[in-house]
Amino acid sequence: MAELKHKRVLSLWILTVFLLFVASIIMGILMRLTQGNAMKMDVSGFFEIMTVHGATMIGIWFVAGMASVHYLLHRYVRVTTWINLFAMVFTVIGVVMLWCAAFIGKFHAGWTFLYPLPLFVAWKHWATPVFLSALGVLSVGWLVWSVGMLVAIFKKYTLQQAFGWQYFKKVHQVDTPPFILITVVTLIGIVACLLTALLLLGLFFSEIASGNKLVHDALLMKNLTYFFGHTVANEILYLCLATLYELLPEVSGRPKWKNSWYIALAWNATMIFILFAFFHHMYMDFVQPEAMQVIGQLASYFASLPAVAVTLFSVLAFVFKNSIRWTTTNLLFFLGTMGWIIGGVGAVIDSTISANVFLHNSLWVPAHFHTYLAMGSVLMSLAFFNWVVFDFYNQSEPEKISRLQIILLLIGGFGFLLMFYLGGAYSIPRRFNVYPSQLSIGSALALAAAAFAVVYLIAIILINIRIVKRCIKIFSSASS
Amino acid sequence: MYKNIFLCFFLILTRSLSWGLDGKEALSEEENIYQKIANVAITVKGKEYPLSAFYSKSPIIIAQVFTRCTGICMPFLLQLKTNLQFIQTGKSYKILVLSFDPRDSESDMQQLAETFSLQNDSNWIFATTDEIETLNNSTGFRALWDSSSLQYSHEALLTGINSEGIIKKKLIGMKNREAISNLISEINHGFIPSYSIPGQNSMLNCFNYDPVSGKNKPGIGFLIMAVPALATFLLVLLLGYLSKGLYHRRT
Amino acid sequence: MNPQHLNILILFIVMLIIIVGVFVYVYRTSLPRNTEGSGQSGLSNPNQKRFLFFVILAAVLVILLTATLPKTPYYYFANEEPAKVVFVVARQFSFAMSYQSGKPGTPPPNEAIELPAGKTVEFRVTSNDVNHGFAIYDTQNQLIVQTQAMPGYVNRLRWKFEQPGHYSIRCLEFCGAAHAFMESSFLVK
Repeated sequence: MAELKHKRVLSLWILTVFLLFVASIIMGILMRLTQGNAMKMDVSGFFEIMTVHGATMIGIWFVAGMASVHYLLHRYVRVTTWINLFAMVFTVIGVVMLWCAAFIGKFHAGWTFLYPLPLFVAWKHWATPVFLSALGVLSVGWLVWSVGMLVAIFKKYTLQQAFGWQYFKKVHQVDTPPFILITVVTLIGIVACLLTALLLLGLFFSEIASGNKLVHDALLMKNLTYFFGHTVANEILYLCLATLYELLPEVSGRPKWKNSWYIALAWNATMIFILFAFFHHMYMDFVQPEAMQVIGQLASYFASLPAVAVTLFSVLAFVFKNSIRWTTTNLLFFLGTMGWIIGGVGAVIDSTISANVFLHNSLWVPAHFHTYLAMGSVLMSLAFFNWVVFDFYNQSEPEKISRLQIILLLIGGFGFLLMFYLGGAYSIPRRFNVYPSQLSIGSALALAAAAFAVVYLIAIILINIRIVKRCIKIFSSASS
Repeated sequence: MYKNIFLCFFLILTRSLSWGLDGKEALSEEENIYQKIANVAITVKGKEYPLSAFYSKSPIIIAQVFTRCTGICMPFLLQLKTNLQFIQTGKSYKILVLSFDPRDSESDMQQLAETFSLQNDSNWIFATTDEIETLNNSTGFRALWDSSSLQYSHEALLTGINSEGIIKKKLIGMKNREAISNLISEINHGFIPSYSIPGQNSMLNCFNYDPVSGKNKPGIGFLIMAVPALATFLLVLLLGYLSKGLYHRRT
Repeated sequence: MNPQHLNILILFIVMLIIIVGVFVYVYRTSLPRNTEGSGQSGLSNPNQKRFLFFVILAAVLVILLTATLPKTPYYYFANEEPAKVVFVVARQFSFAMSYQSGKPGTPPPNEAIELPAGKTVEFRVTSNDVNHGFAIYDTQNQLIVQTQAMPGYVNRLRWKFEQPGHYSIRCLEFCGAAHAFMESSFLVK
C-alpha cells in the first residue's frame, strides 16, 4: 500500500513536470522565432520569457530527478511521503511566485539573477523581492527534501557505508547499492548549493533592506551565484544517473549492478570535483585569481572523468553483444547516456580557458547545457517515468517506443542543438532578443532551431501521452 | 544573542562602506598613465640632476609633499615609510620625495628627512625642483593655494615610474600595503590583469592581490564562499552520527 | 569563421560522430539477430578494458590540459609596453571609451577611438552599474577576445590588432532589456 501512496505522489509530480515542460518548450520556441525575426515580441517580454524558461526548466527537471530518487529510495530505506508533499507544496508556491514576478511584475534579470542586475529595477518594484523570495521558497523546500532523504539513508547505512568506503577494504559485510551511493553523493552537492542560494539571497536582501546603501562585492556575488546555478543544473544529471544505475539492468532482465571499489572511488571523487567546477563561469573575470581559474579547468575536466569512465563504460559494456530486451525505458536510458556524453564534450571544450575566450556567453553555452538536459537528463527522467507508471513486470508484451517517435526525437533534438553549436562557432552571443545585421546568420539559425524544436516538442508529446494518461489513471483510481 | 551577532555584522558592513567614500577618486588615478614623465631638473643635497638620472638606475616612486603642510603630508609619509618596512618584495625601487612648494628650500627637505630618520637611507631621496609646474602637469598633480589658511589644498599622490621613465601606476590617498606592493610590482614590469576600484567594494572581497608572492590571497569573501560547502559536510557528519544504528535498533 | 572557431567546431563534430557511431554500433550488437548464433555474449575481460578506457580518457584530458592551460588570456602581451591605452566604462546600455580616464564625479569621457595596427594596446575595462561583457569582434564579425566589465574592478585586456578596419565591441553579459543593442566600435589603422 505504501508503494501506491508513493506512486500517487509521483504521478502528481509527473503531471506537473509534463505541463510545465510543454509550456517551457513553447516559450523556448517563441524566443527562437523572435530571434529569427518571424515574430515580434517586446523587449522586456522576451527577457521575462527567458527568465521563466530558464528557471522553470531547471526547476522541473530538478524535481523530476528528486522525485524519481525519492520513489526508488523506498526499496532500501523508509522514506516518508510527507517530505515529498512538503517539497511539492513549496515548489508550487515557488513556481507561482516566480511566474508572477516575471509575467505580472515584468521581472527580467534572467534566472541566474546576476548581482547587481536584479537591484537595477526596470520592472515593478515588488518584482525583485518576490522573485528572490520565490527562489528562497524553492531552496527551503528542496533543502528539507534533500536532508530528509539523507536522514532516511543514514538511518540504515552508516556514513562509511553510505559513501561506499567499505569497498576500499579487502573484506566487507554490508553492501551499498550503487543507487544509494550516487544518491548520497548527489544530495550532498545539492545541499551545498541550496545553502549557497540561501546565503546569496540573504546578501541580496541585506542590500535591499539597507536601501541599497550596503554594496556587496560583485565578484563574491558572482561566485556564489554560479556555485548555486552551475551545481544545481549539474546535479540534475546525477540524480538521473542514480535511477539509471538502479533500473537499466533490471528492466533489461539482467542482474543488478554491484558496487565495487572503483565505482565508490569514482563517485567520491565526483562529489569533491563538482564543488569546484563552477569556477569556469568566471574565466573572463580577470580579477578572479589565476589559481582559481586553473582549478576551475582542472575540476571541470576531472569532474567528468570518474563518472564518465565508470558509467559510460558500464552502459556500453552492458549492451555490447548482450541480448537486450529493448523497451521504451532502457532505450531512453541508452539515448540519454549518449546525449549526456555529447553535451559533456561540448562542456569540456567550453571549460577550456583558452577556448572559453571565444565561446564565453556565446550560443555555445546554451548549446552544451541544452544537450545534456534536453537530450540527456530529460530522456533519463522520461525513461524512469515510463517505467514507474506501467506495471512493468505484469505485462505480457513489453510496450515499445515506436520508431517514428525515436526518429522525431533525435532529429528534433539534435537539429535544434546543432543550431546552437553553429551559433556558438559563428560568435553569436547568447541572450540577445534580436541579432544585429552583422550577425544576421544568428537569425537564420534561430529559425531553423525553432522548426527543429517543434519536431522535438511533437516527439515529447507523443512519448508522454501514454505516460500522462496512466498518471491520471493512477491518481484518480487511488482516490476513489 | 543572534540579534546581537547580526547587528555587529551589519555594523561592520556599513562601516566598511564609509571607508569607501573616497572611492570616486579612483578613475583619476588613471590620468597620464603610460605617458613619459617630464625630465625635470631636481636638486638633491645641493647638486642638480635630471630626473632620468634616477629612474634609469631603478624604478622610482614620486611622493609630492610640502614641508609646511599641517594636513595629510606628514601622516602620508609616515604611513608610506611604515608600509614599506613591511614590504619585502626583493624588487628594486627608490622613493623620491619632491616638494611642490616653491618656498621649500634644500635644507627644509633635509630637515624633513631627519624628522623621519631617513636622511641616511639610500632608498629615500628628498629633493626640490624649480620646474614644479611642469612636473605637476606631468604627474597630474593638483595643488590649490588657500590664502586664508596659508596651506595648499592637495591630494596625497604616489606616482610610480619604471626605468624607462613611463608612469605605470598612480595612487591617490592613503593606501594600504597591498596597493603599494601593487605599485612596486607594476614599476618593475609586473602585470596585474585586474585591480579593484578602491571604496567600491565591501569588506567581503573575495581576494586580495599580494605582489610579494604574485598571488591573490583569499579574503573574507572567499571564506564566505566556502561556508556552504563546509556547513554541508558538517551537517552530513552530524546527521550520519546522529542517525547511526537507529534503523537497526528499531527493527 | 576564424580558424580557432573552426577548429573548435571540427573537434566537436568529430567527437559527435565518434560518440554516435559507438552508440549505434553497440546498440546493433545487442539486437537479437546479432547475438543469437554468434555464441558470444558480452564483453570479455570487462575490468581490464575498463581500466584501459579510464587510462586513455585520463591521458587525453591531461594532454588537453597541458596543451591549453599555458594559453590563458590573462597575461597576453604582459611584457610589452602598450602603445595606447583605452579606458572603457560600460553602463546600461553603452560603452564610453576614451584615451583619457574619467574625472571624479563627472560622466565618463567618450570619444572616437583609433588604434595603431600591429602594436600592443591596452583596454582598461570597468562598469558603472551592473556586470557587462566587453567582447571585441573583428572585421569579419568574429569574436576574437573578451573580458568582463565588473563594477568595482578594472580588468586590463591587452591585444595586438594586425588587420586594419572597423572592429565592434559587444556586451556579452546579460545586462537588461537593451542588452542586444549595447555595442560600440573603433578603427584600427
